[in-house]
Amino acid sequence: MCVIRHTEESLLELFSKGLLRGTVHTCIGQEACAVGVISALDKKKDILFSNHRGHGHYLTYSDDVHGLIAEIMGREEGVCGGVGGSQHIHKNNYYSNGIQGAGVPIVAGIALAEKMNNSDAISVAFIGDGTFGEGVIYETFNISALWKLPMLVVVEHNQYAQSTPSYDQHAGVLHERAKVFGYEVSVVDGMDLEEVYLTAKRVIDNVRKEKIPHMLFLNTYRFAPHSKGDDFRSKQEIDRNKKRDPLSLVRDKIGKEIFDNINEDALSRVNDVVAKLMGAKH
Amino acid sequence: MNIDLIRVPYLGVNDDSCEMVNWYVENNDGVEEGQVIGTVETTKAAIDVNSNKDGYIYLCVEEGAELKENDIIAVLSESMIDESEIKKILDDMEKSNKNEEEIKVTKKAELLAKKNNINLKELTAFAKGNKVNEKTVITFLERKNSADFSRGFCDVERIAIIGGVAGGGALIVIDSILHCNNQQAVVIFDQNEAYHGKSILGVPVAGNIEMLDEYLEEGKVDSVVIAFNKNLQERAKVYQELTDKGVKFTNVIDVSSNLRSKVVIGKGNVILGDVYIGACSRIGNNNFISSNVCLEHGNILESHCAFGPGVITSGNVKINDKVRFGTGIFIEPNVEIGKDSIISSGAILRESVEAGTVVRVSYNQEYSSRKQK
Amino acid sequence: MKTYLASLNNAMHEIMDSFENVVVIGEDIRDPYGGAFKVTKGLSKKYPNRVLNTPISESSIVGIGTGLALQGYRPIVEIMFGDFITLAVDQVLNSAAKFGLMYGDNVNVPLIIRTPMGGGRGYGPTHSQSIEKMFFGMPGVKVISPSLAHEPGGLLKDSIINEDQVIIFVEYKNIYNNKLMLEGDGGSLHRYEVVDDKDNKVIYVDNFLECKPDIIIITYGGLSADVLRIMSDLVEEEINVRAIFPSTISEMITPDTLMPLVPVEHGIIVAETGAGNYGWGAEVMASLFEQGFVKDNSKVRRLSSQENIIPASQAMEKEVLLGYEDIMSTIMELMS
Repeated sequence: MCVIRHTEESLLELFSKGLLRGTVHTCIGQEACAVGVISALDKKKDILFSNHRGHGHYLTYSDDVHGLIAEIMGREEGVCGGVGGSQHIHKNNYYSNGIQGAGVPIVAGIALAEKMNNSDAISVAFIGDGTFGEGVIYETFNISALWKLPMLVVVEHNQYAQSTPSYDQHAGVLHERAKVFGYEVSVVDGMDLEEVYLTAKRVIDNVRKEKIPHMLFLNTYRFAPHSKGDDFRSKQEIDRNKKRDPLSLVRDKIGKEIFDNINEDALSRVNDVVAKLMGAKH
Repeated sequence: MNIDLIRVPYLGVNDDSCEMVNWYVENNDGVEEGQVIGTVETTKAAIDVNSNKDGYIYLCVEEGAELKENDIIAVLSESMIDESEIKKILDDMEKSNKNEEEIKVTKKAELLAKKNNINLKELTAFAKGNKVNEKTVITFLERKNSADFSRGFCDVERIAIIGGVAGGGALIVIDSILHCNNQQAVVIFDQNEAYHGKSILGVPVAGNIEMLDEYLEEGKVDSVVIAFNKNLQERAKVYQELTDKGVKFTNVIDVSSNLRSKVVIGKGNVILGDVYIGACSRIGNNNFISSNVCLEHGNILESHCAFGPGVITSGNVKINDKVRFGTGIFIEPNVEIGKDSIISSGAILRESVEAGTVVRVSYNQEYSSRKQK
Repeated sequence: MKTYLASLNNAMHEIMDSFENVVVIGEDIRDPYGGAFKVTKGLSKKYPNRVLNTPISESSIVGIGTGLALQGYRPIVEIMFGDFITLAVDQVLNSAAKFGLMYGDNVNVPLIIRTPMGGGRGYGPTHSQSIEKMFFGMPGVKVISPSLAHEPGGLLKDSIINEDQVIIFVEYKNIYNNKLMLEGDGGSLHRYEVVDDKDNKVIYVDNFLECKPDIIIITYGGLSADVLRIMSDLVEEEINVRAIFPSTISEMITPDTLMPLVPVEHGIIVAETGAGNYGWGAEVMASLFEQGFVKDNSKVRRLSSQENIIPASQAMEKEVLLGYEDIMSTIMELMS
């Protein structure tokens, strides 16, 4: 979690210095979702399909800080040779793409393949609350429930789609939607790493065993803007949420000393990578 | 025999072919109106074939036959069937259909005929009932051309002569044309009314040049050439005016002249008997070159010049527009003669002459009578 | 003699028999219905677990095909009518076609999307279009469309064997029940096959053994039926026609493909079933000019259907769609 936090913070810094181009969507504040879910997966065989806000997912999956930052900097040594950038990343069983909801049917296809292979691998799609506006996800909820595909849809409900709040664009209750197709839906506090991990573990075991699709609905909040210059949330609102910073919650649980050690290691690791990459440029 | 034809029914929008899968009747069975007599099957559906009235049936196709919509599959007769008679009726129908459809003239032949202005009726008559194809048209064209030719129906270029009656230019031009097998002088136009109505070597002097339009319009004349050669300003002017009007100028080149390799000649030139033009010389337009003139190799002769007999140039001489030469002149190599110059008879040019120059020769020659003693 | 449909159906059976990783998915494709045009008939009986009926969800099923392809399967997705492929364009453009190009060398999406285009059957404005040009110029996508002079099933098999990218396999629904013109079966027509360096299987058909072409027609897919009929009919009329049918229609035509154009006597016709603006014909014409095969533009004609919707009524549909009569009259115009 600390590595994710520091990586993204240094990305924002590089961006504001004009050293990055394009766009960077950070998941600062949502780290517990990435770490909690992905730690519960079997990285050797399970397949992940992330989205535009995927740095946390990727780092949890691969621990490849250098590959990610280099990719976003457009370097050849980046994980996709600089072609993909922030939103289009692939390594082993990890994929991400920048089109909302488009990965969900692909995850269903992967799940179908694994089911036909008689393997016990499952596939996982990460979406946000904004993605609930896309039609293809409902087509896929229907098919995957009908065909009993071993897939998990992880919703990171951070309450905003770019600048528009969830309540301004969605009718009804989001986590009820997949239920009508026959999905089981588990709603969890996405700021609490322990709760996310424990629920994810239980849900993932269930998907693996029962070969049915499941939705893990994580209530969370992003502290940083969607990308850049598109944040109109009130400071009070952000500050109120920051009181439940997933990193602080972890620190409270494991104790300040242990946490600070981990945190400092993470910071120096990220700084080393950035320094090395900046040096390599000249 | 009064018969009805039974055809393959409408097969639906998706199919145009079917298979005859079952007959439920045999030849000469009596059938009733509306009775199902057979079934055809498309890739999608089986369709029944019904009798459309009472009568006796004759089957034209066997089970398993592949059919298209509207094909004839059976014949229905009011009376008992006489098989040979039915066959004859069907054969006749087929034949008459074929005759109607038979192509008498292929499209390629038709287009070729059109291009060559050949009447299709002429062609079909020529083909004697056989199909008219590309080869027919080509053969027809060859035959037609060769037959016409053997009767003397061939094209010659019909030339109008402009001026030159008084000075004899018209005469020598017509004389040259008379020796040429694909040109013919047909008329002379001259401004001197005294000559109108007379003929030169059988060619009538019809009237003034203004009459040319009439001759051209009526298609009596193909091209023109100018025969007067003293006033070169006028010669150039007439040439220009007529060319602007779209009148075609031709070259009259005597059969005895000798044009060597790669000689390039423009339009409206007169080149008379025994003229020699050396290799790689270039001749412009509207020049009048009298007999025995010799222009050696590499000469450049521009336009509207006139030569008396026996002018001889050496190699690479250049003669500009509207230069008039007398008789018996010698010009050395590489000399250039400027435009509008006049070179008198007997001159020998060793160096270039500027435009507008008149080259005179001082004679020191006496004529005295030689008395017989 | 085999039909276009039979060739495709046989090939589907052979493919499923030879390649265990082939999965066929689409709407209404299982027996007894066997697909709207019967291309998948008999497959689900033999391979019940590898032929999957789906709900009406074009976008999702193309996505599922992409997921299967990522995991090493060879999915063949059927989109019931070409018109419906619009619903899945995002999946093709932004996912399937991109993955092989943006994730680096080790990701391939060998996905075949089969779909019938074209009209002539009275299905009306949303079931008769030829909209394959949407996929031309789309990196990572190859569009293949067999003519009657190809072996359509063979092209489908080749796509499974040779290709590791997204293939839009465009069948023409007006010729499903037409007989193929295979070697020796074309009556007086003569067929030659050339494969260029991009695996484009180009078929040349001449209507005279020693063809000195008066007219060359370059076209693909469903128009091949009209063109072949014209060529047969023109044998009687002594007009030499050479037809050129490429199989890959999304690639630039190579100079080698165009070489047989050189001795053409009267003219070249480039014809397509879709609406012509910014279309395939435009690209072919550009190639002809750029590569110097055409210098005299009075000798070339570009033909297409009208820039209009395709009516259901037979008479009105015929008017909108390019067909036999239009091509024939253009030939005569060029000849005279």
